[in-house]
Amino acid sequence: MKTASVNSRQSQRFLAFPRVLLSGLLTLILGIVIAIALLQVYSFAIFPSELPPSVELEPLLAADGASRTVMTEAGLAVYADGRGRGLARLRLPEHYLRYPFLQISLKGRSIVDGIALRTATEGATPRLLFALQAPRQQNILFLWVSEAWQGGAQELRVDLRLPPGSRIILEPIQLRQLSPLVALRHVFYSLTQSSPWSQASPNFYRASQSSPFFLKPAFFTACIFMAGCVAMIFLSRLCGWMLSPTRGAVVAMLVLWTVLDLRWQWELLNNVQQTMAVYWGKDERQKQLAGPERNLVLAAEEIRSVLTTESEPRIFVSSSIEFLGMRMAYYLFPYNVFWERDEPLRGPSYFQKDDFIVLLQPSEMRMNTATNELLFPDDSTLPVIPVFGRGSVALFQVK
Amino acid sequence: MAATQYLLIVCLPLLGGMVLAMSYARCCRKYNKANIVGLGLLFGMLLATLILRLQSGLQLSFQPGFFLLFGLLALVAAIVLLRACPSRELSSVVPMHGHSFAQNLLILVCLLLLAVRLALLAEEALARPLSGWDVTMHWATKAKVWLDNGALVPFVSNDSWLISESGVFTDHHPNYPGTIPLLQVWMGVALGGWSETAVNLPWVLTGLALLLLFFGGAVLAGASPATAAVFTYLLGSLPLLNSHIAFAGYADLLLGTCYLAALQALLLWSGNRNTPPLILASLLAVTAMAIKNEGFFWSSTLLAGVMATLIPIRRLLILLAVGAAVLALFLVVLPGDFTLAGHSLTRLELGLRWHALPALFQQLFVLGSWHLAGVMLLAALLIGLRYPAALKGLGVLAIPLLVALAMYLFLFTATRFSYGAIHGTSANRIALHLMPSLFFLMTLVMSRLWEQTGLDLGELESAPQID
Repeated sequence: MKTASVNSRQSQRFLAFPRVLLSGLLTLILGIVIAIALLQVYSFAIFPSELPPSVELEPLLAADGASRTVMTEAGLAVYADGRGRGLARLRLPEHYLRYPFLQISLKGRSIVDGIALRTATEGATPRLLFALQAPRQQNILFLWVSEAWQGGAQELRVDLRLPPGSRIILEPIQLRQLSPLVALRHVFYSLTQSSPWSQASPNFYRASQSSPFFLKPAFFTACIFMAGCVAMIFLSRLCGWMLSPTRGAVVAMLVLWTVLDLRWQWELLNNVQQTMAVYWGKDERQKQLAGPERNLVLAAEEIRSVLTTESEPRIFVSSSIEFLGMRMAYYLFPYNVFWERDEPLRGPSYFQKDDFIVLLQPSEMRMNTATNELLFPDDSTLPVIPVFGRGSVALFQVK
Repeated sequence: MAATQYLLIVCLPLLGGMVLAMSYARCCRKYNKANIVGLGLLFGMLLATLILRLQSGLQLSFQPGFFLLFGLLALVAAIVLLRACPSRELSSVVPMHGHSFAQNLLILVCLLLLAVRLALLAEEALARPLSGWDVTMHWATKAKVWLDNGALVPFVSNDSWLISESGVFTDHHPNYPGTIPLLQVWMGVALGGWSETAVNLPWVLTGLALLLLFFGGAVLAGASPATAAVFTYLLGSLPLLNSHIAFAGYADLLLGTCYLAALQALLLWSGNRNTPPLILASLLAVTAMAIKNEGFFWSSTLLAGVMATLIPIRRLLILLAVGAAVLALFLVVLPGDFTLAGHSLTRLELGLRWHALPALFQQLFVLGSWHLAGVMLLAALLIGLRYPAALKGLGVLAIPLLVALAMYLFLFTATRFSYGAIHGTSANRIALHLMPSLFFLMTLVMSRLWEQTGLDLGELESAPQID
C-alpha cells in the first residue's frame, strides 16, 4: 500500500515537469492564435482586403538647394546637406487612408537618425504629421502612420535626419494594410527597434515609438498572456488533469517577460555602448564638452570667467525655451542664479546695480544697442552694459 | 592620498551602516546576509547625509577631515551598539540557498544576470554627466551650492530671493528635502570637488541595496530562495527601475527602496511584535519624508499597516472608510492655502479628471516601462480576492499598499497632477515608489501558492480565510 503511494507520488513528480511545460506552451500557442484571430477580425472590420497601391517617390529640392535627391536604378538617392537634412517627396495614392502602415526600405544599413512626414501642398506652410527618432542599423522602417494620414494631405515631404554630407538610397516605399501577418511583422520590427536615451527616459520607457497601442510589445504580449490563460481555463474544464492553467500561466508569463526583457537588455547594451563611445576615457570637462550641450557648457565657462568673485553676484537667466534656461542656470551654479520656469524675466524694478543677466535666444527680451537698454516684453527698459556675447548667449550687467 | 581619502569617505559611512544593520539583525529573531548588506547600504547612505547635516548644524565646513572624524565616531557608536545587542542565535539565520541542485542553479543564474545588469547600469551612470531634467532643475543645484559653501545654506522661493539680501539661493523647488542633494555632496566631499559623474554612485548603491533587500526580505518572509531569486530578477529587470539607476539623480528609486524597507520591517514586527522592527519602520517613515515630499503620504500608509496588525480586518476596513470620508470632508472644509507636504489645496486643484485614466493605463500597461508587471499585479490581485487565504498574515503589507494605490489613483484622477499621467511626466516615477513593495507582496503571495499547493489553487479552497 505504502509502496503504491510512493510510486504514485514519484510518477506524479515525473509527470509534473513536462505537464507544466506543456501547459505553458499551450497557453502561449492559444494566446498567439487568439491574438491573431482578433487581429484578423479587426482588420476585416476596419480595413478592406485589397492589394496595396504603389506610392510615388520623387526628388525634392530644398529651398536653398543644399539637400538634393537623385533618382537612380536602385532607388532614390538622398544626399544630406551640411546640417544633416535630406528631403524627398511622397505622392500617396487615392485610397491611402485604408493603409495604416508605411514601409520604408533603405539600401544598406540605415544611418537615419530621424524621420518626419510633413504636408507638401503647394503654397501652404508644411505641417508636421509624423515624427520618429529612427533607430540606426535597420534597413526597413515599418511605420504606423494611421494618425498621420488623418492630416488629409496626399502630397508629403519626407524629412530625413542624416550625418551631414552622407547619402542613402530609398527603395520603393510601400503602403501596407493591417493584416495579422503585417501586424506580427510590425511587432517584430518594434521588438528589434532601439531608441537612444532621452530626457524622458526617467519618466517612461517606450518600447516602440511608432506602433498603435494594441501592437506595442508590452500590451501585445499581455494580450497573448491573458487570452492564453482564459483559453486554458476553458480547456482544462474539458480535459481535466491533462492541463494546469495556473502553472501554464506562470510559464507563459516567464517566457513572455523574458522576450520583453531580452529586447530591453539589447537596447540597454546599445545605449551603454553609445555612451561609452562618447564619454569613455575623458576627464570631467571633456565629458561635458562631448555631450549635446557643448555650446551651453562653453558659454557658461566664459560667463563664469568674467564674473567678479569679490562680491557674490546675482545672475538672472532667461530664455523662451525653458530647457535652455534651466540648463544654463544649472551650469552656472554654484553662483547665485535665478531662473523661473514658464516666466520671462520680471520687470526692471526687481534688478539691482551689478546684477548680471544671461539671455539665451530665443528670448522675449530684446537689446537696444543704440541706448544700451534691455527691452522687456511689456516695453519697459533696463540700462545695462553688454559684457559678453557668444552665438545665442549674451551676458549683461545692470548699470 | 586622494584615493585613500575618497575610499575612506565613501566606505566609512557604509561600514557604519553595515554595523548598524548587524545590530538591528541581532535584535530581530530572523535575518540573512542579503538583508543585512541591503539594509547596511541603505543605512550607510543615510548615515552619510546625517553626518553632513551634523557638520552643517555645528557650523563645521564640509571638510573631508571633519567628515572622516564624524564617520569614525558613527562607526564606533555603531560598534558599541552592536556589542550591546543580544548575540545572535544560529537558528535564526535563514539560509539563502535552495534545496536542490536545480534550485541553486536557478538562484545563481538569476543573481548573475542581475549582477551583469547592475554592472552595465553602473557603467552608464558613472560615465554620463548628470543630464536628467529634475536633477539639474532642483536636486544637483542645491548640491553644488552646498558643496561650494561647505554648509546647508538656505534655498528660498523665487519671490523671497528677489527681496532677500545675499546668502540665500533659489531654484525651481527650493522647499524640497535635502537628502538627495546631500548624497551628491557626500560624493563631492570624497572627491574634493564637484564631479558630474561620480556623484551618481549612490544610485548604483541604491539599486544594489534594493535588490538585496528584496531578495533577503522575501526569504525572511518565507519565500523559498529560488522563488525570491526569480522575483528579484523580475524586479531588477524593470526598464523604468533600470533607467533610474542609469539616469541617476532622481529621488524616486531611493524613496521606493526606503518604503520597501519600512514595510519589510513592519511585516517582521507583525510576526514577532519585537520593538526594533517597529522602531526601524518609524525611522524609515521619517526618512521617506526627508527624501521627497511624497514620502509623507507613503509613510502615512504605514499606520494602516500597524492597524492591520492590531485590529481585525473588518473593523479596519470600516475605520479606513470612515477615515477616507473624514479626509474628503477636510478637503472640502479646509482653507485653500492649507499646505501638506509642500502642496496647498488650491494648488492641487481638486476635481475629477476621468480623462486621465486612459493615459494612466497607457503608462502602466501599454508603453513598456514595467514589462508585464501590471498584468502580473492584476493577476495577483485577482488571486488574492479569489483565495484570501493566500493573503493570510500579509494584511500588514496589503492594507498599506491598498491605501497607497488609492492615493496614487486619487493623485492622477482628482488633482491637477493628472497632467503627469497625460504627459507621462510623473505617473511612472510615482509608481516606482510603490512598485518594489507591490512586487514584494506579489512574491509572497505567489510563493505561498507555489510552495504550499504547487499552484494548484483548488487546494486553497479549504484553507482558512484571512482574519
